[in-house]
Amino acid sequence: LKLPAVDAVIIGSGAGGGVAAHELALAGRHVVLLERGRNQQWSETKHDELRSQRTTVLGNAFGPSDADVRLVKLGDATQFREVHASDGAFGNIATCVGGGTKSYGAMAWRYMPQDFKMRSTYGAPKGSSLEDWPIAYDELEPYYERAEYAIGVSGQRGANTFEGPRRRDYPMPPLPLNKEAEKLHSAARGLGWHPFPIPMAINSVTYDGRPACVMCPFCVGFACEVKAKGSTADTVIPKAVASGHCELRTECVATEILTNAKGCATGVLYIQNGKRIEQPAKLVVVSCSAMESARLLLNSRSKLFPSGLGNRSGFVGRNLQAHAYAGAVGYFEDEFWDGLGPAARIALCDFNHGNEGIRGGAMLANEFVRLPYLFARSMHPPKSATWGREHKDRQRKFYKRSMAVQGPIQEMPVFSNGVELDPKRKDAFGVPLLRLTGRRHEEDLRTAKFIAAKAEALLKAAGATETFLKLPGVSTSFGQHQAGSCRMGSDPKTSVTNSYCQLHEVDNVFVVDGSVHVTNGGFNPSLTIQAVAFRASEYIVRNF
Amino acid sequence: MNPLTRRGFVVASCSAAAASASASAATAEFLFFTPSQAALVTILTEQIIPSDSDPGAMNVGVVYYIDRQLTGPLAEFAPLYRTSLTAFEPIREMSFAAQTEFLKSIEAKEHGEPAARLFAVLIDHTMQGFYGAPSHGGNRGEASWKMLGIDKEMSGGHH
Repeated sequence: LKLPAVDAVIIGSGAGGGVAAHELALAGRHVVLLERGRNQQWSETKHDELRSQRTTVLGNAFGPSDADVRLVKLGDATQFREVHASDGAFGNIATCVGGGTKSYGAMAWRYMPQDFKMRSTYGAPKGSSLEDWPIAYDELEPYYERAEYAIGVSGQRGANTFEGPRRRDYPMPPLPLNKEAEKLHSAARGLGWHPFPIPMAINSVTYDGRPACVMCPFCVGFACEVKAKGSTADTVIPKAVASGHCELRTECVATEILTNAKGCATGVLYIQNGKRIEQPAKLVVVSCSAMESARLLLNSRSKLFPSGLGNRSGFVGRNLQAHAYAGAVGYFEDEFWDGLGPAARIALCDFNHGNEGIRGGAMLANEFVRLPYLFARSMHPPKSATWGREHKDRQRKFYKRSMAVQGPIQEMPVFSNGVELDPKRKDAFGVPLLRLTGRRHEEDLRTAKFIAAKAEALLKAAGATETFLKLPGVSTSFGQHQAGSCRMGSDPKTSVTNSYCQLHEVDNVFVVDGSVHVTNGGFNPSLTIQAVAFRASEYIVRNF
Repeated sequence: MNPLTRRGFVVASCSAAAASASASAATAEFLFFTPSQAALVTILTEQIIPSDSDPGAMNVGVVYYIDRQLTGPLAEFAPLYRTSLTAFEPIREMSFAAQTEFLKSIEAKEHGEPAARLFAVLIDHTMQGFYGAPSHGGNRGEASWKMLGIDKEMSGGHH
């Protein structure tokens, strides 16, 4: 089935695709937004710890189902093994309208100026493809601002002394501190550090027709019951659709980007209800997140592009990265759990850069609300009882007397980490299975130890009587923060897109998601994905 | 009316006769385990989260959680339960303290690799059934949430 042509097809409705759909549609372009998953309503998932984006023991609440499999080779493994979508090794990012933003924790960070100049600041360590971005923070700053206003970010201007310059205040004041954040705030100040309220894409007041946060404990990993969380599913996408220029098509699986003899894209082939449909378009935007965007490009082969669309450099699928989390857990004598979500309320950026002997670092923040099953499995000290009376006693004693502080390590990109197509096996839609490789660079583990020690020091200063470290292993954990697989750059030999997310080799194909991140900052990446998406969209509207 | 209460009412009024009749009505609810397996799994879950001043795994029906999920999202573990549960048979006749020691020897792989693997899985499934939402079959009466003093926060939005 071949449909009438449109101006643009956007594949994927997450952080990047949602913004692109909004910008193109409001500029009057006729857009089709394809989403593999469904437009999920809160009532489908509600508040179920065992089936959330955080704990998937009973399946992925926001898709895909376990019918999806990948072949993974992580850490020191020497062979690929098959994993289902709810297995942590799969590296899942939600598959639904809004993508990861439907159930994310919604920290809304700007990367720091140094984050865009990692190679020139630190030099690449052996075995790493560390590089600078082709754009600087200053060039992205106006687009960060647009993202903050479109998605709705609450925060306190000037509170983060390490932040790059900002022209405009946050659209909303910060959420109030909870009890544990107050404890950590004074402890951090005592250490001479600079704590501040985390910027969040969560409404602190009514904003843009959506209510303020009701502070329920079901935040990260869950859809927001009242839509106080700035998901693209509840902000830019409904507006794009309301403009009359954007058609959202759900449960549509894109399998290939089609090209003509001149090497230009002509549209997208996708499958809906078992039917193969061709959607011709003047322009294609790929926003499927770092693994699936690379997979789609690699599967779009033709005479002109025998190794995949835009892949003459061999960089499509390479340099995949995410974040190693490092931190510490502290047990206290006094009870301070107040059950108020999102709970993650305070952060510090004293250790993102300028650490002696360390390349980069991480932001440190207190953890989101710990729900009881996850607490039972991950918040007990190593070597303590995992079952029996002692375990139950610790649950009772420390559930309301504990907290965690952690941060996302800025990983050193490694060329051999990434995705490729399996030569033999295909999925139900005829697309070769994705093969995933990820082994962390030794530098990441060193940085993690450094950061975890700072987290532990903070907990001790706050009065923790027992502490233990949470350190990552050599297996990369991809998932929500996946990035880097189609890095942007000025040299077509060592990058996939230019700074506007446009493929070097195909003028009318753009990759608008975390794939283009050259490095991934020591921060949650969603706001940067969106700032880059606003900048790319502006370029598209100007040129197409 | 809450479905659990309604079912309890129906069972009670239909089996006014003998205690054995109500017992078989209860065991008939298992989807995966035989009644004998269910009894064994109940003993094991009670070791993992024992009753004391607060309810334990047996009181809140963790075995029903495991039984139901093994026919659904946890089906990948069904073969392990099927083949390795027999390693735990000796525990039936033991005192509580002796059971604890036996399970430590299971953990130490003294009864083979598969039994140790099943016990590790049982710990995880018991924690899920005890601390997860009652709608999945365990944590009856939100007992674990009440124990932690978080029932008000946890059940918000379940309506």
